[in-house]
Amino acid sequence: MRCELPEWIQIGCTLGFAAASWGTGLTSRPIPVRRRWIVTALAAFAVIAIAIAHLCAPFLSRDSFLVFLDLLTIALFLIPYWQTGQFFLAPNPRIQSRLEDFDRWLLPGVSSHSGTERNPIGFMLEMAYLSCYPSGAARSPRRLRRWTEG
Amino acid sequence: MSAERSREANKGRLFNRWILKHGSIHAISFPATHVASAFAIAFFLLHYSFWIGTVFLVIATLISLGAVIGRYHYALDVLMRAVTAFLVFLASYRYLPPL
Repeated sequence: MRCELPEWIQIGCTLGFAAASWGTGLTSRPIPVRRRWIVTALAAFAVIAIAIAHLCAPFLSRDSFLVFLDLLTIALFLIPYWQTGQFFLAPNPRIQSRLEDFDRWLLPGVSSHSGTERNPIGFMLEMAYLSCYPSGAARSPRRLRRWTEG
Repeated sequence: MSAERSREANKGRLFNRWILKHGSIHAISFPATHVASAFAIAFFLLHYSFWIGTVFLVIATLISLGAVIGRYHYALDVLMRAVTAFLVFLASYRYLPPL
């Protein structure tokens, strides 16, 4: 079975970051070689994972395979995130200061605290922030389509 | 997190901090990935199912509030990512497969 668009986007992004990491060697602020290899290894992992997933296609029904690909894309979602982290060298104090100023203007009561309080509302907000991870697995559009079709 | 601050934090915060300690890139706060992914998926699900999409929209809003109030992200990170997710949804709307 051919790659769907999400897989091509995944492959393109990860390989693009890998190429960019080595491209920094031509700039005035190259990232360390060890980090470039980490970015490249993450890209290789993503490509190999997608290739292995497609090797499983003959053993699954078409619908099940497409849902499996959705879940794989979600699982590989972190790969570009970890790749971009390797490009980080140091924070920009001026931008940080401006962001903090905006927070103080927009949310003066919130920005003065260091986090949520130890109370039910604080716990609920932390659980909400945490819910991004499991809700990702439930967001498969192809699975949703199967549900709505009955 | 120091021992004193750990005692002051709720269990949810301790767990979130543990995940970030082991899985975060410990670098940039922009883009707010939690918020971007939550809103992006909520908008797409709204296209296919109003009620399921609304549920995920509420979840995305709570995630945004948790991100800012928990001081995981600046408010501008969250606002920009919600807008970006909406713009991406608009740009890709006509390419969505039919239900």
